[in-house]
Amino acid sequence: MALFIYGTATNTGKGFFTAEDRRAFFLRGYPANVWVIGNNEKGALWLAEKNGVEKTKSEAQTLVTAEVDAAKAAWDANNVEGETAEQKVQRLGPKPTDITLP
Amino acid sequence: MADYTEIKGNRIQYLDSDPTLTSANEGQVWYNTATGTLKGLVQLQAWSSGAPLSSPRHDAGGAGIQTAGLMFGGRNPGPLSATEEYNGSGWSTGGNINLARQQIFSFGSQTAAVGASGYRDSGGPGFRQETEEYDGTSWTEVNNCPIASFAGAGFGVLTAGVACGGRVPSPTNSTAEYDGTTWTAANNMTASLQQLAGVGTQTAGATFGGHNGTAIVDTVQEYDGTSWSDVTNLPAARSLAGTSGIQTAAIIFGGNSPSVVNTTLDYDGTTVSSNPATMATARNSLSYPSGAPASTNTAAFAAGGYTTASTGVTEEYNSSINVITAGAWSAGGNLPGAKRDGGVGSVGTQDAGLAFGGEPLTGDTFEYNGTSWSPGGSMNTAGRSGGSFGPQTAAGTAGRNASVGSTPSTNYEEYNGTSWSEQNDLPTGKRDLAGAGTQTAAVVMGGATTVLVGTAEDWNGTSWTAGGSLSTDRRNNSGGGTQTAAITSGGVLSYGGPYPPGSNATEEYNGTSWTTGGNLNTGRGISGSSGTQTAFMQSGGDTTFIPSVVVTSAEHYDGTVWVTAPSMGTARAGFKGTGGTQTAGYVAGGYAPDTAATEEFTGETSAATASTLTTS
Repeated sequence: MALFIYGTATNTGKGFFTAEDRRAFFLRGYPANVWVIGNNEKGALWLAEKNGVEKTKSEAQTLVTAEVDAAKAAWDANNVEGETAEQKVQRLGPKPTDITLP
Repeated sequence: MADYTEIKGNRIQYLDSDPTLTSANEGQVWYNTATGTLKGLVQLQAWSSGAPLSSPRHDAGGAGIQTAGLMFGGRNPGPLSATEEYNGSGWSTGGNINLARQQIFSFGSQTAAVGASGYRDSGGPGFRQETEEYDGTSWTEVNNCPIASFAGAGFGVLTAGVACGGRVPSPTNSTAEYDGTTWTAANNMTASLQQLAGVGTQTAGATFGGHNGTAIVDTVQEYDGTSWSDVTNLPAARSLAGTSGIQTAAIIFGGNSPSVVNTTLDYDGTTVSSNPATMATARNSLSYPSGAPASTNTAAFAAGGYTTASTGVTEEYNSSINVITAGAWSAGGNLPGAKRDGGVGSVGTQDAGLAFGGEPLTGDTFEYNGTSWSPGGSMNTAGRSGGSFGPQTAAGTAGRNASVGSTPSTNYEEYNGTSWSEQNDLPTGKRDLAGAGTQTAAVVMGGATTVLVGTAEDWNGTSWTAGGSLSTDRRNNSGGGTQTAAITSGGVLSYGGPYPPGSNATEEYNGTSWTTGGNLNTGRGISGSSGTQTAFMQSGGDTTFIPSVVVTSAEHYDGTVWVTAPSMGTARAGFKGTGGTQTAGYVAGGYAPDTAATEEFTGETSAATASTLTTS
């Protein structure tokens, strides 16, 4: 059995996931509203209750990569004339890096 | 010969059922013979979701505690000035800092915070020294901080704070103390570091990790009010983390180690250990720092930060024997037919509600028992958009009209749980007004006659008299409370189109006159409402009217500020009336499209809960 369920769901804030949820199953959020969820009954139920859409790992990875690539492109395109590389990092923070889903 | 059991008894109690649990049971273990499970009441740690920031950001200043937190400044991607306040449920807008900047030394509480120095990449020198103080409402610039650096740590209170480290542009070991008026240079840290997290007080502080300009470090330093010392090391180097607690009981969370992490660490003043709780969203550049003198290692919050971009994600950390069930909306029984603009939604209470009138034009009445609706007595005059109030068995509705734009009525009717009876009329025909109070002491306010009005009328059980007028004329506003402690909020700010956005204004009534309250975060009208002047909820509503944009969002008011609350399941507007409470409200019917759905809100609860102990 696969270790994880992959899906998308919009974080609605308070109550979206509870302390009980965190104890009941693995849960980790990624860009593009992608969630990696422990593959047990409570994890699957959580995704369904949050009106989530289950994805394959490949589909979820594609969504995350697209978001990261967009962030990288935005970072690359955001330049100030005469600015050094360090000044750019100072201004924008580090360039986004690739994310690989577990 | 007696055996062990006869001498010592069972090692654990065998119980037919779980005991009634209180904090006195913490640490106890028992065997539940009914379920065949070993159970115990133990502290459990976990991160759970909180309401997101209105303004996503990272590298912000932070102060306060989980139930009274503060975020200010930061960047996304440029420097920000916005301040937001957290009450453990939602964020509300605070006063802007005077100089937008990021990576600010920050410490203090929600109502007495300090933001000093920091970095600003436009409009002047990057490295700043300005110090600003927050009083819970606005920021005031005071004496400059002697350290012109950014990305350092701050801890303490407004009258006894510390700023240390940062980069100028290389990492620095400078330390300065603040007494609420003056900054004084203090002894240097043991190492020059930036991107470190700080926690504690001016005489018992600590910093965790950081970056020495070459690499991330694992250093833990403590400050005793005079000098710094190296104490121990983190399990792995970490920078840009968040922290909460005191020098002898702190947690450290998130940050870079070396890539972004979601893990939590415990610090007891001597050693650092791993905490089982992990944030759902790994991120760095949380507020600088999250630590505050009143913060604890059992209740913290992590807001904002950076993943691949600035985020508004908020998570709450709790270490508790209690299971906290977040407030939430759930589906109730449907009305017999779709209904809008009637006295529906929140007259009565969640388990004794009342819905009447509305569109399509009707005088039908339905009673709610918390599960389903059943027919009640019909109104004498069918109508919509009256000002309504009271419980299920003693409700009132004043004014109304037959359809959008039709002549408003002076009718006032009361319901006794069985039938409606005509009472003395309002002095002037009105529609789209709000109501509050009871059959013996009510107030109806705002609405439309042949023009938009802000007038109010008081009811004493027999007759209507002129009350104090609202400062802002409006209709389809929400109402709640009592005649002498009423509240009205939101509404439509014109008689006809074109319509400006929904009002965000709140006004409070003392039985004589109205005073201005806090502003809704989202202006809206024709919303659901429930509660009192100091514990009010406004839910759903229309933000633009024509064309309609109906929303799911809800907000809570504490008598001073509005904060975001859990959203309804279905976006809609078209409710009239008031009743229920902030923690047990309901809405029914509404538009768009017209609906018969009922939703019930249950506020956050906390209860000691046993855990099943397993061997896995």
